[in-house]
Amino acid sequence: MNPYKILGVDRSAGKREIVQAAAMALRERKFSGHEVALAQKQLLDPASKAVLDFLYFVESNQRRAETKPHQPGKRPDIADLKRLILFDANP
Amino acid sequence: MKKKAQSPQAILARAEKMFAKENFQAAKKEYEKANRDLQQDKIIAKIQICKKEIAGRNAKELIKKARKHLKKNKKAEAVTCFEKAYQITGQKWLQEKIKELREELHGRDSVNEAIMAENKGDYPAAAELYGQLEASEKSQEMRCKKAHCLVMAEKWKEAVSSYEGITLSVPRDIYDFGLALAKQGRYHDCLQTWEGLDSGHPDFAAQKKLVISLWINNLHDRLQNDNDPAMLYEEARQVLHFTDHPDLKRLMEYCRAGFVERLWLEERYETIIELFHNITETDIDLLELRAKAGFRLMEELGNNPSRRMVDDFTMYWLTALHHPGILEKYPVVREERDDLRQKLIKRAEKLVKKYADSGGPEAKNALNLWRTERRVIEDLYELSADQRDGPPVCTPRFAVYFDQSAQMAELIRANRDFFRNTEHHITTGSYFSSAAKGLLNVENEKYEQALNELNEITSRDEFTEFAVLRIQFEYGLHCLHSGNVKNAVKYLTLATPLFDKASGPEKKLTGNAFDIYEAPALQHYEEVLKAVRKKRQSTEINKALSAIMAHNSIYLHNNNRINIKTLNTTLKKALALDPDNEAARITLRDVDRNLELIKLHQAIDKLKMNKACRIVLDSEYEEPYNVFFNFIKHNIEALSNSEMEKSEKILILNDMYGWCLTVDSYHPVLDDLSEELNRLGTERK
Repeated sequence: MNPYKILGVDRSAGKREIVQAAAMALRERKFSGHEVALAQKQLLDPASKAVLDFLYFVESNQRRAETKPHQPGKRPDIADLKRLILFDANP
Repeated sequence: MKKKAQSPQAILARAEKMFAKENFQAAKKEYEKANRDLQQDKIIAKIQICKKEIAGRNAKELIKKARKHLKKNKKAEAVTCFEKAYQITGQKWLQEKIKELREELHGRDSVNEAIMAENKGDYPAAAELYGQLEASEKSQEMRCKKAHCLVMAEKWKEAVSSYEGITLSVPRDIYDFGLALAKQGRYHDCLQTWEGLDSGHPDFAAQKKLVISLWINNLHDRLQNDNDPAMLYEEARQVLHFTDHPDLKRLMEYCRAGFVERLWLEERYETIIELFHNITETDIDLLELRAKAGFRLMEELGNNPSRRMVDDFTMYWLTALHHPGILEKYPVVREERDDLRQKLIKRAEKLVKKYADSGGPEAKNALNLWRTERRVIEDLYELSADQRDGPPVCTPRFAVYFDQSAQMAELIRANRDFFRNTEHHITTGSYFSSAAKGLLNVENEKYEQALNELNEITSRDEFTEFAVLRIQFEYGLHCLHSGNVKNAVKYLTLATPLFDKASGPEKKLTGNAFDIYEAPALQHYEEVLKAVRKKRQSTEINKALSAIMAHNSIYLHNNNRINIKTLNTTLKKALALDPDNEAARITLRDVDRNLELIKLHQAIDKLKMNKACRIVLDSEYEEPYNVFFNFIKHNIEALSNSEMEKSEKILILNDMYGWCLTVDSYHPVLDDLSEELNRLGTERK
């Protein structure tokens, strides 16, 4: 199970936020006490959190924003699309 | 000339005669004359019949005439004749024929009218007229003419509607339809339609280029308006079919990244993986996403992923984790990065193990493949760690899929010193050779497939040569295990040069030999090892063959398939191959002793006692000695109790004394013999 989902916290959540979220999750009873406790433990341990961050988040948003392609130079005009008589030979 | 009879009866008779001859015109005339006087209903009925017959004949004539007109394309005249015939007969088919001809006459006028309008440049009117004709005649030709006029009138939408659904074959129609589609913003459909035109005319090429530009610009516009990236990605892929414009490629990649990200957020991992079946390049973000999607899906599916899914996961996961750009993005200090990588690898390995443990041999091979891929990429990662400009490393299977094998092989070739020894160097390189695919199939125990793939190999560098030998070796070994001795001999002898380059394979072949005790594997191994030994002699092979020969000969002897002499000879040969073969040595001693005992018994049975004495004297074993003296003891006792003549007894005892003296002059039985002789009143002579 995804501990971030169990506790309903974001990746940037600090210790205090994680503990509060765990308390809330226990009250809500959506997940078992064991699941909540494990999620809290994993997110509070930096080494295990690094593993979880890798597994549950993708990092390409920023790079994608930087590489958003721009409109190509000269905009073509549909009016330039004139009918050709090339193919009229055998109507 | 004879005058006709004029009496009513005579007239009636004439009328009947005419009627019988089917001359209804003349018959009617005569009946009418006769009836003027006779006034009979019968005659009136006959007159009616004649009238009907006459009318029928007239109608036939008219129809005939009408058909003649039709042949001369005189439709109007034909219609008149048909109409007259219809008035006479009232037949339904005539009515339909008249209707059809009238419509044709009317249509011809309309066609002329439409052509005139088209020629005058009044395209909307021409389109209208062609439209009417299309409706009345249900003619595809009229529909195309109408659509063409709509194009000429620049009524693009209506033109598209007219053309749609028709299989076009005339170039002008194909072109016009494409043009109308482009004008409607349906660029893809336009280009697809124009693919049916075989023209290299520069004007046409320029126009296609213009349509592509319009399409790309349209995609950009929609991208700025945050349209659905999935849709835009699909469309951009379609444009790629017509052009490799760099702007388009960038746009497509951008849309795809957006699409995949959305799929990730929606946890649609399977769709992400499906999408990757069409992706051939190795963008770093996509690689990371693919690897993570694979992990998540493996987690979700537990024991039930497909084998392909596990193998793909293996290659993406290991490649992603060893890509220098991926883990660097995570906020861990450099020292901790390797630790994070190892943790992530371990987690993945657990998933692969779980899958392998749950399934049959094929599932177990997934773990073998994982181990090979991991071992190789970890070596390469270590190798590339000091190389600033080196390429990102990847697993062998990833390299095959993304055409990076040559690059990896080059990296390995250029860093020979990094490797522990030649075997390590060449084995790693072989996974990136042109035979790598076959080698990976060997890991998957798909030996036949691996061997068949050897036919496709073109280059023959040192890594490929090694890979080919390994494939031949593994195939040969597989044949040996499955009892196909002929192929086992063929491929294992072909692969013997491999033993000079790597120690592993030779150990793999010979290692098993020591644990085989049953037929037919014993015979198969013996045959194969003998053939291999002819090509290459080594201590390993000698030892293995020696063990197999010993085991096999014992097995055969135990099953009465060879005699003890053959067993003895074979064991001696086995010992010659490997003097340290303890099993052969021990068995041989046993066999030797048994052989001597057999010979001793045979000599005693035939009372060839001198021979028996020689056997005992020459023997290094105790048993013949004991057997001999027991025999003597037994005979002394037997002699003592026998009724034999005293002189005979003395003679025999003296002989026995002599034999014993030859064998062992200190043996206590000599005392017994002396005693017995004394008892008989004599002494040893």
